[in-house]
Amino acid sequence: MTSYTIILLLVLLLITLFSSLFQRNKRISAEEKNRGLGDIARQLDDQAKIIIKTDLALNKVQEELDKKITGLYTLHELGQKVSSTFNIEDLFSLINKPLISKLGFSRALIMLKNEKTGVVSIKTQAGYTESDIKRIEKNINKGDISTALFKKSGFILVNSDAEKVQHEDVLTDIFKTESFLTVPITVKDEAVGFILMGNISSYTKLTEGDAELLSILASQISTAIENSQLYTELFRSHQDLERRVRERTQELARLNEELKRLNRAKSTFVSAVSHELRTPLTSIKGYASILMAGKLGDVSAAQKERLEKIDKHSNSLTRLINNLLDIARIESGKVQMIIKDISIKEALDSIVDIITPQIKEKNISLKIDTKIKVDKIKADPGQLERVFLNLLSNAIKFTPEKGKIIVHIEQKNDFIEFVIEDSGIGIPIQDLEKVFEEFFRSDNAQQQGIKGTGLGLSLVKKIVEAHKGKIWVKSDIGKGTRFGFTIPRS
Amino acid sequence: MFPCVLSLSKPMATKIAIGYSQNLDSFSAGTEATRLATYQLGRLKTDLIIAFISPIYEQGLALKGIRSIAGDAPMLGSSSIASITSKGSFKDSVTICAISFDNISFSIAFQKGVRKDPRTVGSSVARKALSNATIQRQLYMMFSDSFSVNASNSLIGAHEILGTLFPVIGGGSANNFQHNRTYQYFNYNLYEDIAIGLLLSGNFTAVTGSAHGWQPIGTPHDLTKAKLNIIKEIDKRPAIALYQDYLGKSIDELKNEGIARLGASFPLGMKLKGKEAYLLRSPIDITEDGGLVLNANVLECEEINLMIGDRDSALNATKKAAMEALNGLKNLAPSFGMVYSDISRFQLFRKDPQIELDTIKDIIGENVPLIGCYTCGVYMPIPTAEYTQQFYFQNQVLSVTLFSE
Repeated sequence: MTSYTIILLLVLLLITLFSSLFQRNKRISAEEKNRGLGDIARQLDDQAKIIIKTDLALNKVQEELDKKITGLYTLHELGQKVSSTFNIEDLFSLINKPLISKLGFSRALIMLKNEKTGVVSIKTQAGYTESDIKRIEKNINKGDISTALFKKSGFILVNSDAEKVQHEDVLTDIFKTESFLTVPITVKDEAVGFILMGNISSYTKLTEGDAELLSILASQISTAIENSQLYTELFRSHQDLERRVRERTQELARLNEELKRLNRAKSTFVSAVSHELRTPLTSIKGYASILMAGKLGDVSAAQKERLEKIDKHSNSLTRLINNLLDIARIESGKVQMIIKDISIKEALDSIVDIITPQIKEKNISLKIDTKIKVDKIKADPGQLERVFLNLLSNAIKFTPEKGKIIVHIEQKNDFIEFVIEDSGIGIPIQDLEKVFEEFFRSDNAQQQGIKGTGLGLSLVKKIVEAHKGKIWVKSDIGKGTRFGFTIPRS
Repeated sequence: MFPCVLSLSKPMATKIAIGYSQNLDSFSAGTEATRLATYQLGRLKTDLIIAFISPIYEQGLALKGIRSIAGDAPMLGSSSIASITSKGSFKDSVTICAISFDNISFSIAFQKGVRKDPRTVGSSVARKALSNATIQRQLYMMFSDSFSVNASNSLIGAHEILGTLFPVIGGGSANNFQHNRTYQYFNYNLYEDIAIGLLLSGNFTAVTGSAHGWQPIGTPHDLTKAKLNIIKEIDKRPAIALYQDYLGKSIDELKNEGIARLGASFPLGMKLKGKEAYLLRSPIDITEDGGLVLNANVLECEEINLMIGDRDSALNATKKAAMEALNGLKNLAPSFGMVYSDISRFQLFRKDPQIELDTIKDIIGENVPLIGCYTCGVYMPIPTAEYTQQFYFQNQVLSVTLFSE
């Protein structure tokens, strides 16, 4: 072996040594790099896990918030509908499957206790079958199982994965719902029923937030039940009132008919009697005149005085009978108003002529106060004269000496208003309503010894009304009276 | 089945009238929404009624209400937490789309038993619809029950009849995230275990755009064992371990809180081989041995990721889907559109689902009538070559289909 070969071998050995050393270093470096990359990947994975967990947590919070907002919005909409219904059955029809689903539940029951029997029954439900309903109603009415559900305060919240107390297990069996929530319905501080809502899916956990939501619904139902009860009471009372008014109206109508019949009978009777009285009265008056005239022999002064009284009272009786006949005729419509254009001034002048002696006798001042521009009115001249004559004669009768009478004439829209004002004794307030009644005479008139039949004002009223006018009276005791009436201008 | 070929003497576009009601009386909600929709059609004949009814309603009563106004017009529909229409996105509503067609003919069909055999039922419905369709078949819309249904199998069944590249839109009927009962409607009858098909034919163009906007979170994982719609193992561990790790919850907690609900927010993304895109699947159940049941088949993928969604990226996806559909029409003006959005997007946008609708309208135009709803999974296209695309079932997706007549 030459030294050259030895050197070559040494060089080769060194190269091999260096090469293996380099490879080793390279491998170590790659391994370190891979380890670094693995660490980075693990770190990235760990960060990814943190991101995912954060995302999940945020999602959960967001979901609960969404559920609550949707629930509140749904209850708000329900509340608007509830406030416009007074029928409790309508309310229960609103609490249906779509509403329950929007509130985030898949099953629901509303059970109410019958006030009289105490039996608890289902008013509305979602997610149960007919057989479920029968079974639930049967079981809930057994023993005292419903006591916990009717507790006024608080709610029952059962989640599928939570530990249950004894009655919760029983209720889970009855309601066939792993997770559920019940809230009592109270009316006037007394539990009358309860709401149950639950989920079949184990994913959705029930929370106290759900209980708050359900409490709002329970409160809406309570208000609706109270409103419905109040409405029912009000409706019944209204119905009762309506029935009583109807009955009373019928009774009044019957009495009115009876009165009309009696009035007709009275008019017929008065008319018949008046006719029958007039014939003998005419004879009495005629024979009295013959006797007074001395055609049947001389009459002594005493006899003449008696005969004059017979004549005077016969005349009074004739006027009374005529008035009675006129009232009866006007009432029965037998007397037609003969309407003509007449001058008010002329009509009044002729009346003033008639009453002037009486006015002068009592030294009464009479004034005509007219504010009308056109001296025309449409009326029956004869009947209008009777109205003026009666009212002015009354005014004179009840006005003391040196008193005053004013006739006011004024145009009021389509009417002419006449007011006869006197400064007489007046009419007591309690008699004012009755002065137009037939045969009524005020107490103070009788006390003053003023004579009358009690038919004049009744006749005046009939005549004014037959002209489609109105009549009224106002009076102050001791100061005077104002009789007013209207007559249409045309 | 109601095959319908219209032949009006005066050509005119399809008229879509939308009515909705949020009345909490189920029958009244049905009548109000239908009256509103049919009234807007005026003297035009109502050729088809499409109904979307929220699960809060008593479904049978709402259908009776709809029928009391619509009479005998052919009808189909699906339950959904909210409708999506050009008039708004309506949660807890009965929404009615009354349609009067002119250039478009349609046939509708349904078949029971989709839970047990989705593929056969998917084929059967498509076959029935096809047997009454005219030759210019253009688009198929399908709804099916979402309860324990492998939706991709019903799509496979439909494709077996219509052709693998035939455009299919629609999705699974949805409810309020309960994933227990969903409803379908066919001619005013209520069903729970059916698939419904609507085949549209005629001289029109229809283009679908779709996107989801969910992003991978955490490290990628290996899909180590899967069969059909069940992922058995991820990283050689029971698949549920992925959710346990990332969500920090036990199996019991995941079961109690509902894996379907959690999975809607955090789906699994499968990165398809040779593609950048992720195909999303939401788990709907957990097997005894910790496997994850999906509502569609597992696809061969390079890696699997947990995915997360946020409003901005989801809205960008909405824009993308609408733009894709509009661009696909080239210079044609859209006559109307259909929108199907996965229920997880409703959960993401929460109180403001309208924002997604507004985004679409900003792109396609304010006055283009739109109908659709939130579904449990959506049928959407994935490009297979330069000019071809195949429709798949996917979660978290929004699909916008624009029609031009």
